[in-house]
Amino acid sequence: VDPTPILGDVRNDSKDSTVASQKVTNSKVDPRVLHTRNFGKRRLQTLLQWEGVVESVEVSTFECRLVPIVDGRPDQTRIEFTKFSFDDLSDDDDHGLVAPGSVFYWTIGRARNAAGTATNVSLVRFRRLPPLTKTHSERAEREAEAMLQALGESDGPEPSRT
Amino acid sequence: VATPELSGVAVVGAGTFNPAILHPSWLAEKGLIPIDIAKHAMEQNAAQPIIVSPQLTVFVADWLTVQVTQGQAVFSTVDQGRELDVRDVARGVFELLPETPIDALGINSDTHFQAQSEGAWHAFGDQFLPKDFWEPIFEDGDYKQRADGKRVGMRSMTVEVSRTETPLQGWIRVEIAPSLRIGPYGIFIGINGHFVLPRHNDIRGNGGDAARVLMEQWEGARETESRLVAKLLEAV
Repeated sequence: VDPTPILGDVRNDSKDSTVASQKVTNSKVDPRVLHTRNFGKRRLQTLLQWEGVVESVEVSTFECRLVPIVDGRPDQTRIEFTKFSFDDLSDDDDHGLVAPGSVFYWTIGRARNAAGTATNVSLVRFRRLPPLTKTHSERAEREAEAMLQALGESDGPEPSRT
Repeated sequence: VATPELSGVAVVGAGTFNPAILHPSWLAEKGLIPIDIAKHAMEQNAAQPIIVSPQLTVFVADWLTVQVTQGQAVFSTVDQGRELDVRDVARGVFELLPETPIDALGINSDTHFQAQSEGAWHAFGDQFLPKDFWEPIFEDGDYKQRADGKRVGMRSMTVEVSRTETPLQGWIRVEIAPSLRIGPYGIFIGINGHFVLPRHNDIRGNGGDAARVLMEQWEGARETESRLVAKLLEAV
């Protein structure tokens, strides 16, 4: 019968140990071979792309304004308005991001899977950014204040927030 | 004019990173990627097993590929239509790690396309790297000949232009080479838009700087890349 170790894992060199070693030793982790992922013929080529901002939200739809993105730049001179269903969203996880003022992207493109089979796709997904930190918020307020002062409106009304 | 067969985009940060933090679950928890694609990255039978370690993190989450070493963080996609999503993931990570030292930022694209014939493939290489100097050197040896009688072909060529403006120094590098992803007669164009992050009182740039530079430079970099690729495709 094996004796029950009263100290559990008695080794001090296990990977969970917090004992400082007496000397620097080589890593005890075995090397792993990294294989390059083969994407085959996978691609998604943009045919048309817009950046949108939600204007209003209904039960299962949202209305928005869109500007086309041409050669990487949004063309602010060509504003369009349309309505999307929540069913149009490419990720179910995005439902919680639909709110007035939220930014999203709409891409119409031609996709191929790894084998090369082509499909036409319409991708609607919301921009994902980390929540605004206090530091960022304060910096944005300072920048806004500076801009207002530059415009000579330092005593103007409190800007609305979304 | 040829059309691209494959094209992708990558955002690269060069600095000092902690790869272990960039787990798919962390990205999902911070709201940078949907939970479903984080799960996709962690599937046991995924085409590429996830690696998250202090030295290296590598995973593929649907359209997003993340590769982080202690010196470099790469966020890329082979789906050009997801370029804005990749930019936002990189921006989000940099903003969430504002104290991470980052020295430079790359906004990169790669494009693969196919020439119509072997002759057109070689002609493309000859246009950018004329063989007048090289052909006579190999005239007398026992070397294989191309269909047009020449012996020398282009394996890889990189040109570079450096920006003069301060404080954002850097360069654009354009690499042309045979494509490793499509064939026969595939051509690869890799464009590296490199931006050196400004130092403050000799202190290295950080994640916050990288996020800001990424957003400030994105549109211009992508526009330049589109223009370059269109110009090169005209030459096929």
